[in-house]
This record gives sequence, C-alpha cells and structure tokens, in this order.
Amino acid sequence: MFNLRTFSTILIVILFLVSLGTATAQDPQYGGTLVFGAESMGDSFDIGFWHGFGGVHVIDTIGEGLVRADFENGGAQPGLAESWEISDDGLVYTFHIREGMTFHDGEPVTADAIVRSMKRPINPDDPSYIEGMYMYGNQGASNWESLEAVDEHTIVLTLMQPNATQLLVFSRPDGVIISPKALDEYGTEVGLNVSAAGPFKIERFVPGQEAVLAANEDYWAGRPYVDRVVIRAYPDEAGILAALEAGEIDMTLYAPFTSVPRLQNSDNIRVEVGAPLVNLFAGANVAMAPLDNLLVRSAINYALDREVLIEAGLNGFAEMPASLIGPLDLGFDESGREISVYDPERARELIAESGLETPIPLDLAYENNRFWPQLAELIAADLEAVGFDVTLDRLDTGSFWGKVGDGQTQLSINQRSTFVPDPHGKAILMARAGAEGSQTQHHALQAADELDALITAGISTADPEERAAIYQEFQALMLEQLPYIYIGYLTPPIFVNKRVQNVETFGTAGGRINLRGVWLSE
Amino acid sequence: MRADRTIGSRLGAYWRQYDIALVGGAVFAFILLVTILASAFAPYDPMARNIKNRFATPSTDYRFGTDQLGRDVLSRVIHGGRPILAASFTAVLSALAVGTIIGVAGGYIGGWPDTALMRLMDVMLSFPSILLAILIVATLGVGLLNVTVAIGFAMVPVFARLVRSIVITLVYEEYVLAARSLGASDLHIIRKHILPNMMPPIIVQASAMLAVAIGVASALNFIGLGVEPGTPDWGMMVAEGQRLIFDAPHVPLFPGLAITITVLSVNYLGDGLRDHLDPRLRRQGI
Repeated sequence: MFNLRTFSTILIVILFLVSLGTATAQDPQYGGTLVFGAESMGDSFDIGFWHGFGGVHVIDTIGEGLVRADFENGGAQPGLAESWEISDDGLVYTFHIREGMTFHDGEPVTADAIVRSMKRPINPDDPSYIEGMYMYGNQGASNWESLEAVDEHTIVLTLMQPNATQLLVFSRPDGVIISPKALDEYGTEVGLNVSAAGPFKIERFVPGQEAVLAANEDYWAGRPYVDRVVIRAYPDEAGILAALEAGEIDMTLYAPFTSVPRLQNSDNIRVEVGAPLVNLFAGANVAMAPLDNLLVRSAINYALDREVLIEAGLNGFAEMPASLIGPLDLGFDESGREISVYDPERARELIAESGLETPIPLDLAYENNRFWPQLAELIAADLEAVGFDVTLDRLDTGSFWGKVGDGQTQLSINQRSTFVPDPHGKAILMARAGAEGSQTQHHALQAADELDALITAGISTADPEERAAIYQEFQALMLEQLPYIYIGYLTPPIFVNKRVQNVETFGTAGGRINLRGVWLSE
Repeated sequence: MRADRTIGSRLGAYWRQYDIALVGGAVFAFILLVTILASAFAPYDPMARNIKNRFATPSTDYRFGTDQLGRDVLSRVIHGGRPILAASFTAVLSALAVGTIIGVAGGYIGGWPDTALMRLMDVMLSFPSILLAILIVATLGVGLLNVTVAIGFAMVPVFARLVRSIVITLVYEEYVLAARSLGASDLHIIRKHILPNMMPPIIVQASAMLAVAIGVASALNFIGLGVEPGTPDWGMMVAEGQRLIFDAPHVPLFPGLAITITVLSVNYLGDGLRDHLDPRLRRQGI
C-alpha cells in the first residue's frame, strides 16, 4: 500500500530524474551525425573555384583561415592567427600563429605553410596554381607588396595601399589555408583532396551529390560536438522539404518559404529567422535602352509595391529596403527607405516625362529557382500597371549569369550576400573594373567614375567614421542614379530539426554556415 | 429478373465493344468544349491576383482553391488547356500532312528517292520524340510556336513510315493497276484510290500521336521551353506548383490531373477507333 512517505519518496526520485534529464538536455552533447540539405554540390572544393552554395558550405565546415568573421558584431575573431597587429598607417599586418596546430593530413600548421597557401594565386610556379583563382581578387592579393613568414609562428603582410577589408577577407571561403603537402601531392587537383585545418575533415565525397565530413579531433578550438556532418545536394526545394520532414536532413536554408507557417507548428522542426544580410534587387542595364534613361529607372523604382513583393513573393521573409548597403553594415543610411517606396502615380508621371511611347517593352531576367519566379511575376505585374510591357526571361543559373556577363539582360533580379560583414562587399558591385560583366553594365553610367572613386576611398580609409561617411555618400549617389532598384533585405528562414542546438543564425543567413558549435540533443 | 438480365447482358456486350472509346470520346469532347469556351466556363479571370487570398484551399467560392499569387486554380485549369491542345492539334495535323506527302512520294515513286527519304526518317525516328523536340526548341528558341514546330517535326517520320507502308501495298492492288492501265494520271490514282484507302489507319495513328503530343507539349511547358511564365497552362502550372506539393497540394494537383485525364481520354478514344476501324481487330457484333 502507498503511504505518504512512499509517495513522497517516489515523487522526489521522479523530480530528481526529471531535473537530471533537463540538465543534460541543456548541456552540449557529443556525438551524432548532422545532415545539411544543400541546393547543389560542386565537383570540387578548390577554394579558388567553388560554385554553388553546397561547395561553400563544405569549405566553411572543413576550412579555417587566418581569422573568422563575427557576423553578429562585425569585425574579426581569431582563427589560425590567435592575435594580430596592424600598423598605424594600415599597411603592415603582423599575424601571430597559434602553436601546435595540424592540418587534416597531420602536417603542422606553420607560418611557412600558411604563406605558401596564401601565395598560391600569385605564384604561377606552384604546382597547384590555376589561372583565375577567386583568391586573387577576393583576398586583395594584387595589393600585397610582400608576404613573409618571419619565424615559425609569425607572418608579416605588407600592403601597397591600405585596405580596410584586408583582415576580414581572410575569413572568406577562399581564405581557407590548405596543407602544403596536399598542394604538392595533388597539384591542380587539390580541390578533390582538400586538407585544411578546420573543425571537420573530408571523409568521403561523391561529386555532385554529397560530402561526408568527420569531426577533426585535433581542431585548435577543441573537437566539434557532432561526429559527422553530411552535406547533401537535393535537386529541388520540394525534395529538400520532404527530406526535412522525414527527418532525413537536420538543417537547411533551401526549403520553400511557403512551408514555414506549417513547419512552425511541426513537432520536430524549428524555423529560425536569419539577420538581414542579403540584399535583393533588380539590376538595370544602363548601357541599353530604355534603362539608359534615368526617368525610366526611377519609374521602375516607384512602380514596385515592395510590401506585396515581400509578403507574396518572399512570404514575409524580408525587411523593406533602403539601399545597396545593408542595415547591419557600417555607414548604413536609413534615409534610403524614403526613396525605395511604392508610388505608381509618380511612376506614370516619370514615364510620361521620359517621352517614350507606352507600353515600354522590357525584358525581366531571373533564375528559375527559389522565390525568383514568383517575385518576377509580381514585379512584372507592377511594371505593367504603370506602362511597361514586360517579357519574363526565366533562365537556369548558368544561362542567367551567361546572359548577364554578356551584357544582354535589361532588368534582372538577383541578390548579394557578401560573405563578410563589411559594406565593401556590396559596394564593390559598382566597381569600374567588373562593370562589363555585371547586371548594371555601369561603365555606361554617368557617375561611374565618381562611384569608383568612392569605392576606392571606402576601402583605403582606415577610420570607421570616415568610412561610414564615404559609404553614405556612395548610397546617396546610388539612389540618385538607380543602377539598382531595391526589393528588400532578405531575412531567410533557417530550417532545423528540433534536435539541432546552438545554431549560429547570423552567418548562416548570409550563406556562411558554422557547425563547430552545433550539437544534437539526442 | 430474366428480362433484366437480357437487357443487362445486351448493354454489357455493347459496353464491352464501345466502352473505352465512348468514355474517352465523351471526356475528350467535354475537355475540348470547356477549353474552347474557356472564358464562358471560368468563374474568374485566370490572371487576376488576390494577394490577400493566397493558398486558399478548395471551397465553394474557389472550387480548386487559389495559388501562390491568389489566382483561382479552377479558372486557370480551364484556360490552361488552350496552349497545350492548340500546340498538340496543330503539331499532329502538320506532321500528318507532311508525313503523308513524304510517305506517298516514297512509296509511290520507289527507287532511290524512297530509300533516301526513308533513311532520313529512320534517323529522325532513332531519337526519342521528347529529346528531339527539346533539341529543336533549344535551337529555335523558347516559345509555344517553336514547341509546336518541334513536336510536329518529331512526329513527321511516324506518319511518313506508316503512309509509305500502306502505299506500297496499295499500288499493287488490282483497282490501282486497272486505273493505271486505263491511263489515269499518278495524281488521280493517289487522290482517288490511294488516299481514301489509307484513311482508317492514319486516323488511328493520328489519335495515338495526339496523346503523345499532349504529353510532350505539357513536358516542354513544364521545363519552361514553351509558354511564358505566369501563363495559365497545365504544364507551367505543375512546374510552378511543384514546390508547393506539401503545403498547397491543390496548386499542382489539378493541372496535373487535367493532363492525365486528357491523355487518358485521347488514348481510350484512339484504342476504340482502332478497334472500330481496323478490320483485323474488329470484334464480332453484338
């Protein structure tokens, strides 16, 4: 028979067990396999030639650069370099490399090894050299006067001109340091045999399909919690969603936004919302009629009903836009929001003022994936309502960029996520150098030189306040000239199985996943 | 009861002979009627968006629900047969016309022109029709007209080979030899004696190819080689609704069903026509 004493004892034991269970659920646990669903998986992980986000996710998961980006607060965090100093003139960077680290292949991470890997894009004698590697431009290598290992754990980089983003670009996927042994052994094929020093290492790779990554027991910050990460490509969003709901994948960025309301009530899936790091915009080819006419571009700007675009095209996962620079970026100018507004009457007046015969024929190009088709249809309807005759040009990713590169698109919608928390990553879209291959073909823009000068000034100025002022001037000029018309700042949903804990949403929102702190509560 | 059985068995026999053709024909006739008079049947404008009412599930107001832009799915399904059926009919009729000319020319003239034409047809036949159509659209460019041309082109050899095989047997028929010995011209013989006698198998073949053409046209529109995005079209609607299969299944389901039912009905109609028109397959009477 139960008496009060027995009952109390049982109750206390139960409460103790429950509290024990809760405590363990809150403490990070080691073990398990996390499967990430990607939209693609490249054929190689060469940090100089990846394409598609699947490849970037793998590189970010296995790689480590000199520094890591702090997406939440801006700035850099230690990576292979545990500390660094920058000279007052902003020209000399001294990196102190952490001791006792090894690459995945067991080679020691030394200053010499790092310098060798960093010089790969500028050293045609290196057996792994391939012309046109991303690092050359992205890492700022053309501005390096010298890069030397002064002792086993110290690197000194001397620049020709100051570069305010130099430190942060080392955190990019193309800033990952590769083992010298792998570079020698595999040469130009190193992308299939990447040996880096990041938290996970490649265990198995099926090109185009999936990469199986195992925890690196010797990672400098300690072994990551999960034993394995599988990054697997799915051919379409519906496939990713099915796999997510079936528990086949634990985490993805690529399920359809339309499924969020239902998944928010799901027993096993959680939806987190990312920070507004990605710009969505329409690029106007200013080298071609009718978009060479500022009045027409301005009319497009006022024709877009962004509230509807965000609600119906993006299922509400975006903030209203202001300019090319994002709300978390240095120098962000809030006043741009007053220009990126819906005013169809004004759009019609501007078209009348342009003297062009209506309807004005206009091609709208977009990629045939994710939310782009839906956005394109809504944009076309807005434009047709004020006097355009829009032809929708639905293209696969390769054809889209091919057409953009040839300067053959008129209006084209796309996005910019910069990979590092700095306004330069977005501003550089308007650099004179890449104009011929860009959506805007802005070499034909009246203010092209002025914008180029501001971009150069923005990067060669060290003082944050001065930089902020430069980027504000840049934004004002962009809004005056409107080579881009802004749609919104994407705040993407991040789909995770409820067993996945400690997801870093800031970087993830911009396409930079960081799984070293993630653990599974199972 | 006995009388019932008799009536029942008679109806059953009648049904057994004409069942599929009747059902197929009736369903296809209905689909054609609705498609041709789409504007009269559709309850709403198929392009009218209502952003506030996206993804509405089927109800009395919206029988098939609404899609990602709040457009009425029923109205879009009703209008959505037009591009596919127009392209399919035009393609099959054109292929039939061109194929007949080539087949008659080859079969009637014989010799090296026949060999040359038929080898060319064999080469075309060696490509799967959808692959050939994709190749042609990729060359000509995207658009419904090019889809029509591509499907028609891919189907020419099917008709050409069939017509030729009939013509080479017909030219040795006694009535043809008699007409020739009476001094009738080639054109007269082809028009009066050959063409009328090959109509039944041609009609059967055309109905079978129509079903194939509808499938191919839907597929080409699905992969985005046909109509412009946003156009109400079954293939395009399935493509746009594909990603919604778990969250708003009605969006891709109804246009998908429309394709299936149409292809099935045409196939059944074709089967029935074959049974009826092909003497070798004609069943015994009731």
